[in-house]
Amino acid sequence: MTARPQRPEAVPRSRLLPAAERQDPDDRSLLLEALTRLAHPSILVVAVYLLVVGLHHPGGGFAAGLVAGLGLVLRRLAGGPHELRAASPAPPGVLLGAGLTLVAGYAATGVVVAGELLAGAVWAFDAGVLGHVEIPSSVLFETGTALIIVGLTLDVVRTLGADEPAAEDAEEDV
Amino acid sequence: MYLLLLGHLVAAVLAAALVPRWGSRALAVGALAPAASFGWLLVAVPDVLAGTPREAGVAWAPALGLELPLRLDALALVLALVVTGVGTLVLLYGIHYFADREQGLARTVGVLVFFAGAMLLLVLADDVLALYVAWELTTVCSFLLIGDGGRDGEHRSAALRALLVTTGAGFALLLGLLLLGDAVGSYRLSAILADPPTGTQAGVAAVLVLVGALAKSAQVPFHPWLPAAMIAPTPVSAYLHAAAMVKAGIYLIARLAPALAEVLPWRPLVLAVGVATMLLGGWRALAQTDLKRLLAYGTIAQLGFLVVLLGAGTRTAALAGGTMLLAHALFKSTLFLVVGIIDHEAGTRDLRELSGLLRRAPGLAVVAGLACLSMAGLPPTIGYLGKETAFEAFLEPGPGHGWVLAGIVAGSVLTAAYTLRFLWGAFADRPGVGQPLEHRPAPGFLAPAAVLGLGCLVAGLVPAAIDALAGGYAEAYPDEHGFHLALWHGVGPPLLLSLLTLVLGAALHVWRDLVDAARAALPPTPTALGAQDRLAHGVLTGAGALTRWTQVGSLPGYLMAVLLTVSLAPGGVLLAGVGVPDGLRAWDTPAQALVGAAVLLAVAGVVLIHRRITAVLMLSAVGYLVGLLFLIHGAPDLALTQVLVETLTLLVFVLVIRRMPAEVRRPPQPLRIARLVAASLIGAFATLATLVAGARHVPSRSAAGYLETAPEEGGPNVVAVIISEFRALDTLGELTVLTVAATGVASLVLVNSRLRGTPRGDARDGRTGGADDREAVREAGRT
Repeated sequence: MTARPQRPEAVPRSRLLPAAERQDPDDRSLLLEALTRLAHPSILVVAVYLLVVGLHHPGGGFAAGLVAGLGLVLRRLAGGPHELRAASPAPPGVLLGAGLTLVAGYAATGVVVAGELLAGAVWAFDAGVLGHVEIPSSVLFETGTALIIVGLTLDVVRTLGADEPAAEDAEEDV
Repeated sequence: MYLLLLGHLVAAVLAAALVPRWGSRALAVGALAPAASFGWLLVAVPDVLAGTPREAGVAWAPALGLELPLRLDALALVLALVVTGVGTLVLLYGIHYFADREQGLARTVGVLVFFAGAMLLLVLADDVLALYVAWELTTVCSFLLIGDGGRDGEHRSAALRALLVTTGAGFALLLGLLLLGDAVGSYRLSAILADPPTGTQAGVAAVLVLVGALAKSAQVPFHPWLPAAMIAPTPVSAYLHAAAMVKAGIYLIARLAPALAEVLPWRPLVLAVGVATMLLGGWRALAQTDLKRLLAYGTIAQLGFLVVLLGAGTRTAALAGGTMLLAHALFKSTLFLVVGIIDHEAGTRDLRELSGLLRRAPGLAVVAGLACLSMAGLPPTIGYLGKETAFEAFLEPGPGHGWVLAGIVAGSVLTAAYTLRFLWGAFADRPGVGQPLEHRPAPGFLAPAAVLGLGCLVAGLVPAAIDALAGGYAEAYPDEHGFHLALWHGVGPPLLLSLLTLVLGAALHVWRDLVDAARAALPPTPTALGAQDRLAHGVLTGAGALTRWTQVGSLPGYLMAVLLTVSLAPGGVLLAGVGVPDGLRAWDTPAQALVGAAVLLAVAGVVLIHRRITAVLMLSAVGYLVGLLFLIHGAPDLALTQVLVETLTLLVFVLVIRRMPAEVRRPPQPLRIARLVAASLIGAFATLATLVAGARHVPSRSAAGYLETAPEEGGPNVVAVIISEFRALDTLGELTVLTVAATGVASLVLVNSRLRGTPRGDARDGRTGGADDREAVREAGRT
């Protein structure tokens, strides 16, 4: 998380987005910030929903990653590059690496456990009031996919959307 | 046998790891692996010479027919004995040689031991692909050892020259081996030898294999890399560039000669190149003042001799070749080790600065003398056995034998002359030159050289044993003349020729001033070195010109090229081969027609509107409408993805076009027409491809299976199950590509923006690209 800088008193305060006040006051849109503040958690919930319903309904890791990535892009648009950094769970490289590790690890686990690359299994049980629950192992695969897509989105938006790329780049190790 | 190879790998790692603690003494650990292999080989000698080769095989990827078979027959045995025997002694010698070195020692030690293993694999491999891999491993080791961590420009250029020449020719070798394997139907060396190929393909393969082998063994015109490589430490020169690696080409020629000697143009090529190399190497050796370079040119000459003998394809020549191979490994590594001792103790190896070594280090002189006896071919050394047999081989009637005999006699004269030059240069007294040798070399330093030097003599005293060892390989040819090695064959042409070479060689040395004068009077001739440099320069210039011609730096230009290629090449095939499918329906439901009309409107907007942001929005509208079409068609997954990707694209567009002019500039008229044509073509292609793909009449065979098994595999959403279960490997591949693309794009954009910003000294994130990258990105940034 970026350290909060010294803020001139003249700039209107906003607690809606953590780092939004670091952008040029002329560029800010309070409406967009407020909407983003409201929508962002819901977007992430939708992303998780898409991730888990993938095998039964339209959705899946790719769509989930895109939705979560779009949520981050929204933060970028409303709050500027610093807000994007504040919103990112991890640097894009870490997300991409973690996703690829998860996906490749899942593939390799299949070889070890079932003797087949990418072998999957379904874990089904009755969960009382929640009804019949099926958890396919491929949800791990989908999660890896989603992580990669989020990392990809973040990478593209961060680099293409940088206002002062050199300055932004210098804070890479945040 | 696999254990021996693995042992080398372990020893290499272990020795390198021990260097910080033990210094050069870690080489003793490394020497264990070749020493153990040498012992194992000695045990195997009786069996192998009796005609039962040791074999081992391990299937690596049986489905692809890839395996790693090893085979120890008589030829492999000779080479393996040399590789492991000389390897052990050279590594032990290195303990003293490297005693006062710190920098890069761990790498040198590790690579040297690893090289021993790679070389052993090379001679043992019975599969041509495994042989090629080992071949290139030795090249890489050579590069690393010559370059010595890229210490200075001279090291780097010598290493690069060796790498370029040997790997460049290595490609020819790979191609040749593949052609050979294809002609025979097996990549097993033993199978190729058992069923020799004939015809044009075999001829082409023979030439390609020879190019690789001759370059590796520093034959004309590839030879300049070897003298340049003499910049490496002496143990490296003695082992890689005299005893082992340069023998790889000789080995391959010897290995394939029984199968290919009758294939044109094997024999003329081998004999001509070998004799030319022998003469050129000997002649150049006489002009050297650096003892090590003198030996290097001598090595080139001797390798030429070996190429002639082992490539000729007769039994007597093969016998002589096997003997000379052993002889050369013994005497040349001895002499290199001697030069290394002189260099190490006296601080110079220039014969103009050396004096009085005979009195200060008599032991060293004796060792060098033994080796020189063998090199010049005096009885009773192994070199004499080899030389006499060589003369005998070409006294036998055969095509072109007279010319070859004259060539090798002349080469032997030069050999005798440069042998004398070496002895005179290293050990003679020179008035007015100080005595640089401070103290006698330590016994442990001299011992490996002494063992090898004595070997020259001892091997000569047991001609029957050498006959058995070298004869095992020569049995591949029909025995027409019944020649066997012996120290005394009676007075005959070979003996007289031997005497002649010695007398003439001595004369050349005595009247060396006349030789030098004659050399000075000769007009300068084009050298292979210059030709290689011009070739390298030409390639670089050509590549630069090609890059400037194709990489114009215009993004629309690239896009035009790509789109036109796609629409014309596969599009033409599609139109000619498949054609427009019949039975097209305009739409299934009126909703489709409605959305289609909206799409057309949006497209017209994209083309006509000049305000950039509006055009982008219209483009997005097209995307969303297509998503709607997917939904109408009953593909919610596809629609969802389409809409999400479209949104992301739009947002990225918005971020990018902030930096671009608000209005789209109108290009000049001809360019507009060209773009119009390109756009129409790619549009027509996309339409046709979509129609053809959708017009398949036979239902997909896999579709039914997918639908049936999807619920068991995960869930009823068959699209998702296909992505994450049935075709998960595809998904995995795509995800990898995505990751690489994302990282690449981000890196390039960041590099570009940094170039525009203020220059920063630190590069904390390691993203700083090379100068070339920056140049490329700067080019791209202008467009």
